Amino acid sequence: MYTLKGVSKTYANGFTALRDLDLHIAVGERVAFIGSSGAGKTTLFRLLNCTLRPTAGTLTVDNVDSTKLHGRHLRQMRRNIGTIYQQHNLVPRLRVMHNVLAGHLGRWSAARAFLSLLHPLELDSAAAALQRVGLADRIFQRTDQLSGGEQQRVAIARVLLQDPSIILADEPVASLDLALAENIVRLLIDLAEQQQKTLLVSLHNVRLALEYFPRIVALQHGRPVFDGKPQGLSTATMQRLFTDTPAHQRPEDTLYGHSHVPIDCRFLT
Amino acid sequence: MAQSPASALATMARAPRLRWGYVIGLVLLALVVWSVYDSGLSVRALLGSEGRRQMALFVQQMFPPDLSPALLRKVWQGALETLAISFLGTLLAITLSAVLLGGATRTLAASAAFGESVTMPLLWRLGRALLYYLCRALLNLFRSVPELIWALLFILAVGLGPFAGVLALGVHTAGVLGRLFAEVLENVDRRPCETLQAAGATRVHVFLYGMLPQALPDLLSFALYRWEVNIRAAAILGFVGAGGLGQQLFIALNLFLHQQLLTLIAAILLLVILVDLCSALLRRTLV
Amino acid sequence: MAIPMSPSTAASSPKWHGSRSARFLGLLFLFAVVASYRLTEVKPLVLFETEALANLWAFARGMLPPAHSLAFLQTIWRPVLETVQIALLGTLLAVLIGFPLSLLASSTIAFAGPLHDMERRSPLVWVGTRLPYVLSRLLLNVLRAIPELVWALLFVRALGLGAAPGIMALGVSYSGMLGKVYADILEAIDPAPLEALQSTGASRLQMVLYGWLPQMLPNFLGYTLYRWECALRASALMGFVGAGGIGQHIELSMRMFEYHEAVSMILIVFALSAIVERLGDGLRRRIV
Repeated sequence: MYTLKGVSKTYANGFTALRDLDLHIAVGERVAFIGSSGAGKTTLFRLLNCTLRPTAGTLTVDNVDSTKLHGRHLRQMRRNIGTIYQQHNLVPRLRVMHNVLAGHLGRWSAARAFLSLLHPLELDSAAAALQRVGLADRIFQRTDQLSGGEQQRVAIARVLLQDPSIILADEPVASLDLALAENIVRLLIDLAEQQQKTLLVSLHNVRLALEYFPRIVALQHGRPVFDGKPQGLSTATMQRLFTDTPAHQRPEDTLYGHSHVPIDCRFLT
Repeated sequence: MAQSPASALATMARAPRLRWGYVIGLVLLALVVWSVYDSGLSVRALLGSEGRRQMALFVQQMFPPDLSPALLRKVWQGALETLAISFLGTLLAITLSAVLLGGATRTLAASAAFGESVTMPLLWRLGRALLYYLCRALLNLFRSVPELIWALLFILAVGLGPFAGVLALGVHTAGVLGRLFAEVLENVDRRPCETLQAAGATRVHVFLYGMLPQALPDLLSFALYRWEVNIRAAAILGFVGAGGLGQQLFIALNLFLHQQLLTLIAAILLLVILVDLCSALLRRTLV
Repeated sequence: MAIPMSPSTAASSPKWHGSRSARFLGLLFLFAVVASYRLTEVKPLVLFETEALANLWAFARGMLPPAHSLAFLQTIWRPVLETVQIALLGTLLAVLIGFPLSLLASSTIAFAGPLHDMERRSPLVWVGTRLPYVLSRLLLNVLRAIPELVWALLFVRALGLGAAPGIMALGVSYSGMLGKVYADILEAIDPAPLEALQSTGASRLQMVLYGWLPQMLPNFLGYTLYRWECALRASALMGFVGAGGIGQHIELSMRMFEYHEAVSMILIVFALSAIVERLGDGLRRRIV
């Protein structure tokens, strides 16, 4: 499915998140990525879901070079990859149904998308997806009224609707308590297994990774230092992974460069 | 289990906020349609061939702009005068509002943090409250009356010319700034003030060393913003006789000197851009 | 540099020379004040001369009581209505012009930020995404910079007297103000949900509909309603130059020294603007 050869990513501010990375992921695999913050997991995922392009090396998805994708083809490729983010990244002011129905945007025309905002189209599909994640009764609520764990499940419902063949989950459970985290990881795995989707998850909780995933890739300083079965991961390697953290930046800061301040019109008199 | 579309619709119809949005939208639409019909505004006359022709003809008459040296000299003087009116007017506003601020700011009044004992005589406290409401009312009056009308008023008092413009801008802007300044001062962090007062400072000291330094960036920012607004207002005040480019605008319009008109408009445009740039520069260095 | 510790050079008092830039700015400021003073022929004593005060007193006396006879109200209710209509339609026009311009004028929609990392790297694309941005920002600045009364004058000259020039003038000048503020709001939007939307394969238009618009709605509404309130006062003033509404009558009354009528009309305009402000607050609370 994915073939990465010599992939590097350096941001505009000079920070190199990935160095000369080689990776191969086959269709239907379930892989967990571990490593400390700043190791490059987030950047890797954003390369894998075609949000960013590598500054060096080649990344092929489904035998297509990602940098050659533009316009309609790029959208089609993105439609086939579902991403779940740590901060769920839903639109807070929209109702849950719209956030879930956004999973259809890759298929819908702009006109349909607009009409759906006025009166939701294909509402049943959204209801079914929310049912799978156990939030059927929240369909008409405003998204920012839900708790963190619930919003994450809404994000999963959206990916369900999108029905991609690859699911990427970037630290999906980092901000949730342990019991909830385990539930969500199990949910993701069930969904992937039922429909033979490729599932790539990055986790900072190594225990979850070792317990549920047949393949572990460990990243450090933007390179893989381990790639194999969980049994092969020695305590020594694990210790090395999580100490020796470089001076890093938060991925969000690197991506967006600054903290944005909302405009307050109160003072314009 | 998944809901059927019909029951989903029923649930949505019950959601109160959703319904309000549509109602307000419809009311607004009705208002707009009625306005268009009632005001006799004919969209066809406006945007149709006749209206477009008229506007095109008008624009054509303005080109090329009149760039004769005599006119340019007058425009230059007018521009300087307009700039001066806006600058002085804003300064006057700051001074005037500063005078009224003492009364109009709640926290500069009786408060335990400023060393006034809580058991001030009732008469004193009533008097202070009265002063507050009076100052606020005065400031409200100042800002409610638009600059143009103040200009007419002051022309009555001091005659035509830029002086009336300065007074008009000063008074109106004093009302606006007074309220903004009072809000800023009231929202300042109280703790440094309490510390100063505990060390024996008088109210004036507390204001100068405690409140003012904290409030200064915001105060300056508002003042600069009003300067930007005032340069636009100053350009217009001349139209009713208060000096500056506005006066020349009046003449050019009434004598149908369209090419002069374009020059004047270009001058106003440049002036506004200049002040906006200066204000941005000052903001970056001072705020 | 090592601090000498020998007692003979101890305790030399430091001298504060003042900041050079502060001195420079101070001098510049003083120069500006003096120059402005001379240019504007300010003679503060004139204000307190007997003639000036007498005029003001005549005005004050003529103001009260404000005209409220039935005949008077009958003559002015139509112009007042017209003022309201001009304000409403003018603001609407301003939104219709300003909003599309703001979409073009917002750098994060056009080319800035990680959302655009995967775009084709070609000079044509580079120019094609930046040109609309630069042009629309320029247009918005020009529309804003020319005062609305100047626009009114121009439109009256081009279209004749009446409500139409007022609506056009309001629409054009306010579109500049609205457009710029909208664009600033759009640029400050939280980009994270947008990235998620993009990852589902949404097109840019869909991202605007689902990502940018819902997040900008409260600020958008707030500022637009505020502008509507300003529009009411502005349209009253535009009448001064013939652009319809009550302004014409106010100017006439003042020139004919019928101050009690002028005051009445001004009070009505302000009552209206207060009503619009309340309406706006109510609207905001319901919709947001």
